[in-house]
Formats: sequence, structure tokens, C-alpha cells
Amino acid sequence: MTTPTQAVRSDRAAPVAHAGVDWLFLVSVLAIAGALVRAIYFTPFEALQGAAQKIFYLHLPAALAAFLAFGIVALSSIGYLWLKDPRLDRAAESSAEVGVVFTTVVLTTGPIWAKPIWGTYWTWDMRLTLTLFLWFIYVGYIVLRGAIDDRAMRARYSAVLGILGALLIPFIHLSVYLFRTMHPRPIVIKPSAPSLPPEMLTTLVISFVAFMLFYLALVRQRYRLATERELLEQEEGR
Amino acid sequence: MPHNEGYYHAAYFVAIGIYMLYTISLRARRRSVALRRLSLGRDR
Repeated sequence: MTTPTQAVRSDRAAPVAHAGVDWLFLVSVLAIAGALVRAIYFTPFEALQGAAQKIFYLHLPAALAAFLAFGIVALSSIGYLWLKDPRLDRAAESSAEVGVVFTTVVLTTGPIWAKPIWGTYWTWDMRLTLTLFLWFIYVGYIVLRGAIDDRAMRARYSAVLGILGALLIPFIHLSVYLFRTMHPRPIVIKPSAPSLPPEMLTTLVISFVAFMLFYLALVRQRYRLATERELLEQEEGR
Repeated sequence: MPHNEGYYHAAYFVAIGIYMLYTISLRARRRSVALRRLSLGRDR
């Protein structure tokens, strides 16, 4: 078992200020730029939806990155409750915040795509509503962390919320099968082969890889912030 | 084919804007913590 002081001490050698650009961040931004250039200029328009369908290359990778982020929150939280290792708490905290950012992108790009296709920005469809609930749960998770001063209590309570929130993810994925919804069923993540033309599938895969790298880069930065904050708290004698 | 480029441009603009704002916020928060640690070290 690692105490908070032990876990942070190993990071003490890290420089106080990271003035330079993180290499992983730079690689991920270049990958996203490449993916977007391919999506905009080298991927054909979908015949029925027109240009609006290209929102897909932002919307789906953001959704998958958000689900991955909250899955990692749950796994790190389970690990924290078991091992009481504060590094796992920091990993959960970091992944939750980045997950909220990706979910915000899903909840903004989705309605912008829905307007020209469904004729409305928002409908209380099960997939949309559950995704909004997921966003609220992890916003609540961040607020909860800010409201508790005691480090161990904060980590324990937020771990429980982090695990419970992630239980919503399978329901969100299955909601299009379990309920009558306007949201289309998965065309890539499904038991049979993806039903996308090869050019579109390649663009989607490139975009997915780029956004996964971006997720990792953001979590790495956020984890460093959490570590530096903990060091500051120790130095201030809190 | 429908002409709905405006929605597609708006979505890309909004998404890139959200990612940029978050990246800026991360850097600003790290900088603020680093400055507080530096000033704490100087006071000692």
C-alpha cells in the first residue's frame, strides 16, 4: 500500500514548470490535423446527408474517447478502493475531467448534426438523454472532488461515484437496441462487419486513433497537474 | 444532395474550440500551481 506522501515523492523530481510542449500532445494534435484534413478534403460526401455527415468523424471518436475515459475512471477507482494507492485516484480524477470534455463535444456536435437530419437540435431520445445523464454524473464527480477537503474521504467518495457512473455506459450503447430511438444503431461497433464504405471507414479509423492519442495526451497533462497540486498542498502543510 | 455545409462547419468550429479552451485551461492551471510553488519556495 502506498501513502499519499510516498506516491507524490516519486514525482518530486519533476520540474516545477513545464514550459515546453509535451511531445505526445504535439503528436496527437498533428494526428488530429491530418485526420480532419482527410475528413474534409479526401473523404466523399454521403449521398443522403450531404456535408453534415462529416460531423461523424468528430462525433463518434469523441464518444468512444469519453466511454474509454469513464471506463478508466471506473477501473482506477476500483483499484484505488482496493489498494488505496493515490496515483490511481489521480488517474481517475484526470480521466474523469478529460471524459467530461469529450462528452461535451459529443453533446454539442450531436445536436448540430441532428438539426439538418432530424429537423430538431434535441429530442428526449433514450441515447441522448442517457448521454446527458452521464455528463451530469461526471460533472457532479468533479464538483464533489472540489467540495471535500479531506484527501482520503475525497478519494473514497469520488471512487464510488466514478464506478457507479460508468455503469451507465453499457446502457447507452445498448439503448438503441432496447428502446425505440431516433439515434441510428452502431454501424461500426457491432457483431457483424462495419457497414461503411472503405474510404469513410479509413477516415474514421484515422480519426479514432488521433483522438485516442489526444485523450492520452490530455490525461497525462491533467495527471501532472494533480501531482503538482498535491505537492503544493504538502508544501503548504495542508 | 442536401446543402448543409453550415452545420458541418459549425460542428468542427465548436469541437475544436472546446478542445482548445480545455488545453488552455490545463496549461493555465499548471502554470498557476507552478508559480505558487515557486513563490512558496522563495518565502522559505
